Amino acid sequence: MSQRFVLLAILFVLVFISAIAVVYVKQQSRDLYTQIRVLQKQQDALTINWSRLQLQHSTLTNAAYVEAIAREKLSMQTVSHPQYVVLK
Amino acid sequence: MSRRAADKEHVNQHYMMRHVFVLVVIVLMFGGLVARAAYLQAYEQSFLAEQGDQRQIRQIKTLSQRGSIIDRNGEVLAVSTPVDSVWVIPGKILAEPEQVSVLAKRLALDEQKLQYKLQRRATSQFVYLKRHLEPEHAQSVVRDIKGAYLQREYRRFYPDSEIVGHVTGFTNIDDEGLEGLEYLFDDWMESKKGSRMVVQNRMGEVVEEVKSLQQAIPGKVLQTSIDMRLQYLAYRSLKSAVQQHKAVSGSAILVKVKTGEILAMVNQPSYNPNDRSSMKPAYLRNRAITDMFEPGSTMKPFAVAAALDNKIFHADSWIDTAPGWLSVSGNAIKDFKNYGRLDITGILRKSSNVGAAKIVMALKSEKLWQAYKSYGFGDLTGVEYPGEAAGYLSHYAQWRSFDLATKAYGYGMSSSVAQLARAYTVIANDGKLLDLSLLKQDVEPEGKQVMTVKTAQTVRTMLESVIKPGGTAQKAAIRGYKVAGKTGTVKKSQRGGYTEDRYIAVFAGMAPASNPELVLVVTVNEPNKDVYYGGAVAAPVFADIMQNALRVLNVMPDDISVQQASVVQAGVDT
Repeated sequence: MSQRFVLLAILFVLVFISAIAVVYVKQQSRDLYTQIRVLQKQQDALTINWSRLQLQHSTLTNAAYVEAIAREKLSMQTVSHPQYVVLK
Repeated sequence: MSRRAADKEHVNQHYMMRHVFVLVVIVLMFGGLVARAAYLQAYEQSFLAEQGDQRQIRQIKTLSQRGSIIDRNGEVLAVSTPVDSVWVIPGKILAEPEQVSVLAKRLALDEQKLQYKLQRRATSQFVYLKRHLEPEHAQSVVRDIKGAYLQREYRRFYPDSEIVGHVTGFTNIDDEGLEGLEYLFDDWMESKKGSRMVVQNRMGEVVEEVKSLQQAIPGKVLQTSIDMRLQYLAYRSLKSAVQQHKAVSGSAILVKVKTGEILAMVNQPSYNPNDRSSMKPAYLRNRAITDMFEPGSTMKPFAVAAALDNKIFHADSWIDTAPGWLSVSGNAIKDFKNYGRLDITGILRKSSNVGAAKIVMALKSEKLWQAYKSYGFGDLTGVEYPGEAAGYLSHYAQWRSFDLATKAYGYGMSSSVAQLARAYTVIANDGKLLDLSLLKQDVEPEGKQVMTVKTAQTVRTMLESVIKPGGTAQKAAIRGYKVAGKTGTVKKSQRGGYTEDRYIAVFAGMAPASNPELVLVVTVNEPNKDVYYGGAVAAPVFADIMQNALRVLNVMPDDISVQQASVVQAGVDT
């Protein structure tokens, strides 16, 4: 009788521990999920910024734009052949 | 025995009691449940229905970014950026009428039209009001408005718009490739949708995140062979030439000799891939690849190469082109004027039809056909662009002697600009044929030897004379570099024959001629009648693009004379 009781007690304790563990893991997974969502939102914001910067970069480095500035603002000219110095 | 029986009786009675007890309990429990259900159904129905609506487990799709298209140096040609689309539930908006005017103001819409639109679809649960707004702006549009929501989407931007539009193609509003590389490599760049499980309320607002089922995977980046700097230079030159000569259209394609990579490919007219309303079907065509034309005199170097490789003539053979015309089975082949006796170089320099015809007529049809075929005529170029034209080269068994003769100067067959460029890379690349590619190549492809090295070099030297005084394309010359190339002025064919006043001006060439790095083919379609020769219309475009390309790519000049070199030296020394 006492043997069965001990067994029952052990099982009860185990079940209890397992129940607590389930709650704990569940809580942990919720926390992690919240974290991942926060990070995903951050990533999203960074992606938006990154693509905006990419667009800005390509607008500013657009050959037509660079050429206009080089020629008009900075009065630069294309180097023509006699001005070359070829070093070997 | 009897004691046992009595015991049994007792036990049975005991069990009987238990039985009844369990039964009663079960009945009571069941009754309780029924009563509870009846109560919920009858008294709390509306409250619970509302609660149920508020919490619904849903799977929702998450989007990710489509892969970018970049040029060979990493410059962005197409990029997807996150945008927000505003959608509404009309009923909820109309419930508070002043919301309509707020929304109209924020979206810069006409209030009455908005009102009408919402009323017409008052029972709908999902109506787009405006798509593709910048996320920051979109947030402020829906702020404090009940019944207006945002949906994350991606919009494709093409920063260089029409300059490279024919290469990139474009996507539809849902970011699926429709044209060009966007279409061809849709699978590669496409993002994989993810999904997550959330608790939503009836309005579709996410109340609680449950879990992520599938991560959204962004698409992969596509690196093209295009060099945006050269693309821009080519576009600018071609556009101004097409405008100057009031031409209908034009194309130019710049190929890297050692790899077959297309560094620039431009067409006029072009279109802006950012703006779907600017797209007319005729503008969308990537003419350099999809349109066929008779290559005309630009074929002569290949006729010469075939004759040299078959040892019918030598580089220093002489051919009599007098009296400037030739009759082949009743058809006349004419030269611009009587050039008399010409060597083979002279035939190319003067672009003599009679000379070229005499060369191929000394060759068997089969040999010429085999040679042209091996240079890639009548075949796809390997670029795999949607709608690519294979060109037309009929089988030699169908050729009569006049057909054979016309092939010498590029009539009675057709080719795309890309094909012609590919064939010129054979001459430039010491006789090796490569597939063209719009993707950056990491290793130099093997290539197939279709012309002997010696012949390729000989033809190249001959083609240098075309650019020199006495040649047809002096305007293709570039100071500091040796250029080899060939002009073409092609009468456009129409039903029943050739037109007398519509031409295609062509120039195909390479530089630096002593060790070619680049091949460039330029066509201008139907230039103004006043000036229409390939040497006058297409050659200057060639020179302009090629000169800039050589400078940008830092290609060593091969035509600096010794005297200039010593002057430079002296300058450096002092």
